[in-house]
Amino acid sequence: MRKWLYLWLVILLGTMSLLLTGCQFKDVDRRAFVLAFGIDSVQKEEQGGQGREEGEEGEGKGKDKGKGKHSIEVSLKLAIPEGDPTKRNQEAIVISQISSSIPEAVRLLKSKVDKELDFSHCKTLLFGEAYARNNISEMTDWMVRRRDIQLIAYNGVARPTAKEVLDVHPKSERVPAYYLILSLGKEGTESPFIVSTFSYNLRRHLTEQGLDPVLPLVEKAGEDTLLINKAVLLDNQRVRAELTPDEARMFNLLTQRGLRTSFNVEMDGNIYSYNMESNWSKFKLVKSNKGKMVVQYTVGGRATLEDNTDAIEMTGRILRAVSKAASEQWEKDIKQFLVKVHGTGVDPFGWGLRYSAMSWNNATELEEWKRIYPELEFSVKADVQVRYSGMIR
Amino acid sequence: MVNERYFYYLFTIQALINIVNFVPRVLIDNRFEGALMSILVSVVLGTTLLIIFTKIISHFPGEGLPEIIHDTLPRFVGLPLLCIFAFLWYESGAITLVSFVDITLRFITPDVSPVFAIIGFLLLVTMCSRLKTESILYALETTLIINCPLVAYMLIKALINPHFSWDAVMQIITHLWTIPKYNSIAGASFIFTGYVNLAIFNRAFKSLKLRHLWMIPLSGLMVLLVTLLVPIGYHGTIGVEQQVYTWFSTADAIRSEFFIVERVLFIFYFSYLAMSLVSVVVHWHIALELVKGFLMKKKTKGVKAASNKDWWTLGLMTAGTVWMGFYFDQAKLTMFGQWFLNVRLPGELLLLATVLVAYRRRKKRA
Repeated sequence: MRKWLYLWLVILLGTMSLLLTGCQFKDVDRRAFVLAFGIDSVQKEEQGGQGREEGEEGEGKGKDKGKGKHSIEVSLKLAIPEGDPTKRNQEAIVISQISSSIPEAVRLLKSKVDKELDFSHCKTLLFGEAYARNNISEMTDWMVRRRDIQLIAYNGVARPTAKEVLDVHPKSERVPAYYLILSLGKEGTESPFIVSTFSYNLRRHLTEQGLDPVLPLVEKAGEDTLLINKAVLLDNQRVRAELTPDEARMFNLLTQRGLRTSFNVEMDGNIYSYNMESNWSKFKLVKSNKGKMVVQYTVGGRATLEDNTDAIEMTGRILRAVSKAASEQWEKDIKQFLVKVHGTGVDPFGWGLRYSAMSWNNATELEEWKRIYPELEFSVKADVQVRYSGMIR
Repeated sequence: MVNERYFYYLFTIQALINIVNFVPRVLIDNRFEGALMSILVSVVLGTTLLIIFTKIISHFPGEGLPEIIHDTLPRFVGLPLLCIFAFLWYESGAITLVSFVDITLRFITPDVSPVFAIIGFLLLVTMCSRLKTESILYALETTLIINCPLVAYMLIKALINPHFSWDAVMQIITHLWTIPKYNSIAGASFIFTGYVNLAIFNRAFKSLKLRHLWMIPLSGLMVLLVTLLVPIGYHGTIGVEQQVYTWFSTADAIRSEFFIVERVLFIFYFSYLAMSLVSVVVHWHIALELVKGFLMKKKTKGVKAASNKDWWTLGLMTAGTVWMGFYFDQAKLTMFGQWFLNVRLPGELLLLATVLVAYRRRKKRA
């Protein structure tokens, strides 16, 4: 009896190991890994020009949908597994397809490669600018609904189109599409201008009441360079406003801790630049005595002096004066930024969510917020402490 | 005979496994309609039931439910009762198993036929549920000791994520003052039901003097709050409703840059696979022993050896589970899981009443 049990156990383990392979019985060399996904919207007129490589079916589908208004172009950046990952001979392929829906486009794309498309390593999903200005619901639904696309993929808006951005092969890129992954995340560059957003986060911001998403803007800057230093604000469907690099950094300053960045401040005709070592920011909603709702930001951080244009000796008194000037500068800039964001009518910081989180009157809080929002006022209190003068005084 | 700490393992596995058994589903559906209040209610309710039951059953050292019933109740009452309990325990295991098969197919092997997955799991479970009661407890201990650190790691990772939205959590907390529904109380009290497993596992305990009982309501409350609020912190107060496998999607949103794999989902899957299977083994072992209890002629002390007749029972259970795996689609499975949670609470009260009556009758006789 016991002997049989062991035999059974061995058979069982054998079967289990077959069942639990993540690779669906297809070997790695028969797979094409999708590393980046791009989607663009296509105007009907352009279809003839752009869709030269598309078969009859692709164009037919676009027309079936009526006026071709909804037709989209899906671009995939594929990596083909090779032997030695340290060599820089890894070629990435970009394929694209025009169709009426994303799944249809992916099915059509499957006939353009000899291998099985594998989305499990797809870590970057880009929306073309025109697409993002129209409506991103279909795409965000698809990417969350599919089980094999990670929820920790990075999202971004691509300019001019997702296809062109994916087509760029930067010189520093050693593994296909790794450039986007490294720069949109925090593993590679830690640029203060990059607003990184995960899929689950985008999805949460889209569905939540009183919270709107923000996405980084990936621009094609040249033949083989990309530039990521702007961001776009969205409502629950489309892009509503664009942030300049300075504003994108300000956004990060207000939403992240420990942002690696530096700022300049001018005092008595001399420009001091200081580097942030730590920073924090929080806000609360307070009713002012005039009955209006005030968003009260308190921000601050510690910094070291990095540079001053006149090579002044930094005494404690001057450091304190610089800190004070820097705080005033922050208060002015941040307030200006907040007023601009408020003016666009979206809520990327979640003021509305905070209001409903703090209000115990659940029945009417949303209507209340709708009434309050247009009248919001802002106040900023900054406390920057430039504490060290670096290696020299 | 085993140490008293094994009682806590029985409690812990049930508390941790709630994620697979549709408890998050019902809590999240009611998040604006009294889920939090039902958590508080069920902590009180669950702890009370747990203390009463363990107090009573500790007067029957080394005896399981079939022995107790045979000894004190007439057969025409005892037999239907055993039938009902056996069915409930079987369903509890079967739901865990079927929903885990569903999760496996969704996340790990979408191209494999469900038959293979179900048969693989069933082989393991049926063979293990025939083991001795003590052996199952030892296996339970090992599984928990291996998996609890992983679960703790993932939980800490989840909570220290800067993208975790505490505002969304607060928004749910402000919905505290709402009268809870029966559904969500029945769902939330599920995590305290580890103690009912004593119905058979009491055979292995010489004495049950439980220390540190205050830990049970406290840890139960923590588990329930985590079950409800962590997915909300990741998917938002509105978006969380759209998730079918709430906790698996939450695990997918957790990212560990410098651990074995970046997607925590896979670590989460494997640790929950182990825990679910052990939990199913525990439940089916009880169901099997209860069925064997029908056939018991007179009071026999101690554990009976496994016999080949068990396979008839197990075969039936297997067939039922395979049928469930095929017949249920996503919506039906969720509905059935909810139905089970609703029925379970009265079942638990029935069990408590049975044991109480048995205790009274024995005391009168003595």
